[in-house]
Amino acid sequence: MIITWRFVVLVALAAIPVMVFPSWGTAGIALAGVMLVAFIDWMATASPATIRLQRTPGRRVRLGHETDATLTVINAGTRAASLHIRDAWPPSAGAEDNRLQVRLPAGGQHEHLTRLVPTRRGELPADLVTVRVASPLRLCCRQQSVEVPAAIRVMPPFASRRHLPSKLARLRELDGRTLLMTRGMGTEFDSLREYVRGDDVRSIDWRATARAQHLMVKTWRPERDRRVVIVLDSSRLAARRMGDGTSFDAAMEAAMLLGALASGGGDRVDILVADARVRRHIGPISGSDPLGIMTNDLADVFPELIDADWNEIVTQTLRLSTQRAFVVFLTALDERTIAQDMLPALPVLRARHRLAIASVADPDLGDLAAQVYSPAQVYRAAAAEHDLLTARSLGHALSDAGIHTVHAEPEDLAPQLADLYISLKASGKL
Amino acid sequence: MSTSLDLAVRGTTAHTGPGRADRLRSGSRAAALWVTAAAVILVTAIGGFFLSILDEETSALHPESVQPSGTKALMDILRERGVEVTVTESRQEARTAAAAADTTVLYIDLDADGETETRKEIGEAVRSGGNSLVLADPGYDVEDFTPALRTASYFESDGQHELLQPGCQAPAAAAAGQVRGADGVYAAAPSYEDAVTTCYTFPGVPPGAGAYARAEADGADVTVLGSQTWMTNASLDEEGHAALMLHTLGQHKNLVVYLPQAGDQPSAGEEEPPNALTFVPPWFGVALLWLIPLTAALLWWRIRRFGPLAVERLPVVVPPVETVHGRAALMQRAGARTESLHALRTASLLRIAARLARPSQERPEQLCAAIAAHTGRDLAEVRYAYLEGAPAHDRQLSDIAVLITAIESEVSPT
Repeated sequence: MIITWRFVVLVALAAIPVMVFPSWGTAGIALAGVMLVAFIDWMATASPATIRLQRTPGRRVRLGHETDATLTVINAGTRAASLHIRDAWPPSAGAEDNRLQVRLPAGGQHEHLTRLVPTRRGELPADLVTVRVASPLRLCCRQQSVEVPAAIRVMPPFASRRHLPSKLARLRELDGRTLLMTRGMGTEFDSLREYVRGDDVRSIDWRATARAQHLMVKTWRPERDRRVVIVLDSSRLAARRMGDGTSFDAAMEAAMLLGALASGGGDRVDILVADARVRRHIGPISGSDPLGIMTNDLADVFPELIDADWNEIVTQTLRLSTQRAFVVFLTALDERTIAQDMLPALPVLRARHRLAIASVADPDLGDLAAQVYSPAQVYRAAAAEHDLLTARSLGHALSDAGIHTVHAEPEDLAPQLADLYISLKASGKL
Repeated sequence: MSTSLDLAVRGTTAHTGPGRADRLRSGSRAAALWVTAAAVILVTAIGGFFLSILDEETSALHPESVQPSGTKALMDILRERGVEVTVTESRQEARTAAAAADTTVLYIDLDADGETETRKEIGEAVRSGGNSLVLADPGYDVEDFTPALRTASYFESDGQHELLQPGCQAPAAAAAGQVRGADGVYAAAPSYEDAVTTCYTFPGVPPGAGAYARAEADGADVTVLGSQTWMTNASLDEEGHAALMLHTLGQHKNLVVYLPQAGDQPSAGEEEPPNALTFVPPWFGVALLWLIPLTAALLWWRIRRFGPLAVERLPVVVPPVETVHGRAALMQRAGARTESLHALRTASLLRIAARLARPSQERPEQLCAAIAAHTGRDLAEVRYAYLEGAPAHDRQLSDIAVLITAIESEVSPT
């Protein structure tokens, strides 16, 4: 039983007879009268079970954009009902104006649009809908909370989207160039054209020259239809907070930019999210709207507090592609993890594929390393420098082993990884 | 998806839990309900019992009190013997009854609520009706009732606890024999010696005074009891107390016990200067009390939530530089100054080498020389900062670290 302000006013009014005839008896009778009226009013209230509800979630959005959800209320009872309804959403869904007051005739229907401005990516499920039915005298209400399942899907913001046009343009430039500076191992034959001064003499196709009576050269174009496998580590190390989001968020940005770029360049992209098991496998992405597929499928993956099983990850990666592929691991550059868990599992992979390890650098470390004005700060700076040096030497060691590395702060990781891809593509090393 | 389509495909939901009637029915079967009800009844019963005890008369010498200091036993015996016992707190009633025929008046006033005026009225009424008046240790007030008696001596607390012998001709005392203890002794007023009989005298009191005095004058008689304990429930069965009291109080067919109340005295109503509370209208207190149910209703109104709190399932986030802070604390505790400085120097030299476009494999000595040449600093100072400085304490460590930062900031890319 929920009471309203009218009940409070009724109690206040009941003081008048008690003040006129002050006695315990009058007070008791006045209180009992108020309670009796309220009880009868409550008994005459329609049940909230006669109110039927449905929620229709609005379109999925990128983080930072606005969406909505429509709550439909139908009065299935035989009487008109005065309703007060709360359309509850979790705080991160950013629901605004989620309460409504409406009077519905029997059989009446009402639609309420709740504006949602989500503050977090992922699949955000709606909470309960609470219905209050006012009593005939409006002294009290009956309240029930009903589960009306609905969810809005908030996709990652993909802030690196702004890099995509320029990177794609560079890729197309490579594509359209008549002749590559170097003849890589895997470059593809494109067409023949006449020799102009400055062309590599090694590119002259003598058979065609003999046939055409002119010097002819072969032109090459970057390989198409290669495999790119992006492995996103979602273990505990990816849950570290980096700048605004987690390390995983930055890694996801990088994966999406690379994925969009590679599929735009004609490659087939697989994205594998894994820790101790494969959490998500997207791909191969080659069709139209690769970004849409990736953002939607990665929307509700979050890191978990478990360690990565690199044997399992490598096995799954090998299973993905028999063809030579460009495999990018987006993980933490943690000395012990790389040395003990990752490197032993990698040789097979390195023999078959081209490998790159991309990791997120902690922007806080630089700040810590710069402050040396008290002994405590010096020790902290030394510890931070130690971490930075470790990461650096680890990068060198991996490079020496023929593994490409990218180690950058969250907002730089995506463009740097894209640059690595483009340079590999330009040099025909894919 | 349009809403109407969604409704057509998925339909609607509503609250499907048990209804109000179901909940009432299942609730009535719940053990908790009955346990609570039993607990409530038990608490009410216990509370009621204590309340009834509180309600009971416990004041000393009260005719309804069953406490050791009460006098209910005596009154019950008198009733059994056919005496009509009336208890009154009204001055008017007492006066009327005292003037009626065949009546004994027992005046009990331990709190001294009765006023002189009242005492004189009672004495007058008893005389006019030719009745008996019994006073329980009245002290100096005895003179208000009758001119024939006065108090001879008065013991404040520790009176007499010895056994006292009657030693007189009063029939009541003679029948009772010895009694125990007295708080006051009374004697005849001058010129009334013939009308007064005193009993239970003991050594140390003025001659002619006794713990029991009876004056017969003007057709009425006044009996003064020197002790209140004689008539109490606790000591009524000791010595000759019962006989003495029954004789004294059972002389007439009617016994009126008068307990004077402060509010019922002649001077009552004319006292008290007006204070601020006098001007507060009577309904104000009621309105003030009514705030209790009003506040309860207000709380009830505001306290109910509009549905449960919305639940948020947050993804896990680990604070990042915790390991760095941990290692820094360990290094500080261990005093690892050399190692700390080594890390700072290496990192700084690597950055400077990149800025000056020197090969990274270059010896630190050569790099120091390059730095000195570039910045114009003293070579010894640069070597101290990067190679030779060995801090003996944390302050020195901090100084060297600041120096390194300063030198690094002076190196601009060539």
